[in-house]
Amino acid sequence: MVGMRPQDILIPVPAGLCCKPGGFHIDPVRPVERALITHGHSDHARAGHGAVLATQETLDMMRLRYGENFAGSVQAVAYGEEIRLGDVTVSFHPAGHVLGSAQISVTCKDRRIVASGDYKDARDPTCAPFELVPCDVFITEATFGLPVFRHGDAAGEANKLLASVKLFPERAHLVGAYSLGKAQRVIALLREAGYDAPIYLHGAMEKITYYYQERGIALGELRPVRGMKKAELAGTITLAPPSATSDVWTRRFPDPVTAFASGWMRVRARARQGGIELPLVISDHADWDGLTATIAATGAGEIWVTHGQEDALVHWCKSKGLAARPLDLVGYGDEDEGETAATTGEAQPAGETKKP
Amino acid sequence: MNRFAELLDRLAYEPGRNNKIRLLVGYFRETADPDRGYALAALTGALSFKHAKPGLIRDLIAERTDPVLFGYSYDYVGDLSETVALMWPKSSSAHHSESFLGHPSPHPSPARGEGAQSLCSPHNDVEGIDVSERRTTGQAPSPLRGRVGERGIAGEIAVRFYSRTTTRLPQHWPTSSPHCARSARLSCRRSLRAGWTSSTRPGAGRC
Repeated sequence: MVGMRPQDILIPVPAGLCCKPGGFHIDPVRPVERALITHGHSDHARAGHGAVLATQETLDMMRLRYGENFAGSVQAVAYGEEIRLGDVTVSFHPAGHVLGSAQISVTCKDRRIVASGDYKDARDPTCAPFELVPCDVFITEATFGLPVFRHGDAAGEANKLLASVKLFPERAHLVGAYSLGKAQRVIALLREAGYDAPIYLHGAMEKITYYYQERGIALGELRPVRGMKKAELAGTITLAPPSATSDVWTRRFPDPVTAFASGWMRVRARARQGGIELPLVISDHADWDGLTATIAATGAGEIWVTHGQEDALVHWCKSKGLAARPLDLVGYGDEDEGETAATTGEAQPAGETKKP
Repeated sequence: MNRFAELLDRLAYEPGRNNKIRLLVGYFRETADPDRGYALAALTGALSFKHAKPGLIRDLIAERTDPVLFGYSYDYVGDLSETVALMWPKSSSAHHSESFLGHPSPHPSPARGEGAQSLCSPHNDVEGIDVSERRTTGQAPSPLRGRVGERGIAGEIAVRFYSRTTTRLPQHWPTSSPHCARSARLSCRRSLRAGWTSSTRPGAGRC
């Protein structure tokens, strides 16, 4: 095993990132025998694997989404705990993306590769902060891998929303937000900004948001929006999955202001495309400055860039003298868009036609 | 100016006319002079940015960014000024609460106000106020002093033309040009419609 190349440890295959010496895949998009899952978003955490190794929160979220039998067997791992798998040692480290999200470090001999999954270095009151793991090869996402994406201060965006609620007290404010992670972060930011009125939830948000509360994340008073009278929703804030904000479902709200919390809202054309009136630049992914700062800080000499704007980030790495290449992994959605398929199923309980 | 940028964004995304008016009223109510004056001038078409041409903006961003990254970004965003605004390197210290060009503005004074220049010659630039030109007349503190390297793009454009414009400045700031008269009328009409009282209306008593 002397002189092992990084691609002998981890290699992209159609099912996802495969570790042959360890006998497992990371975030596989097809059912595999052994899977290590970075976080609970549906494009990374899929049902049907033989065995799943992930943080307790990620396993719980998969259970909430897919039911008890989402995998043959499961094993929970704590942050920092080292586990021997075949010829390699793996450990999970906070990625700061959503509750329970992890970067996965794979060490073989003295060579360490970190698969960061999705991550952000910005502050988030709903999950453990990103931990820098020095490594030889760093696998980074590139969702916002263009220098136009700079997310700025999320607290300022929450204040923007509150200012709008104050200016339009007779209208309802409808905030589109990814139901796992983003929605809870927006709620927590609103609470930090001093907003203490009840916040309303679309049906698809309920389970996962209540789970966050169970895990000790303070989100204040939350109410289901289901069953509320139109007039009662004036001056309130409701969180809904992005797909619902352009749906007939919005007709139950009085003259709603449609907001959308996403890093994509930085670009006007993206906001207009979605018919958004109040774009809020709040993202659970690192922005350009975050990506480049993190890459430099890992000390890695080789960078593999996956899902997103690979070309620009690869170019940046090369201009800094780092070996870099895009990883051709398919099946991962970008922020908010991977959500669509998952929410249509989950949104059912919120429908008017629901039987008791 | 960030608050003004926020207003423009909201206006652009808001489809309803009454809601647009509410946004304007909210802005003029909470923003202090002179920023809301600049805003009013900008909204009524009384500001011209004749030096801010695409070629210049391209040159400025080319000095500051990698051309390949700019190419990818422009390709994605699709709008030159938006791309440049988003890519513009961050200043080392934040001046978000400060006024136009990142510098404190002079206090409003009757010597600079509406109607102060009654001898405005008819051949004056009817495009209206160009900030870089106005600043160089010596009536106001120069915004270009110090803080090199922390300027935003507006400051950078002003600097670029600082020396070029001094020699051909109009002697009078064209405050009584047809455009200014029009913006004053518009501001009156708008403030009446919006229900301002005479004490809270910007420029109250002057029009």
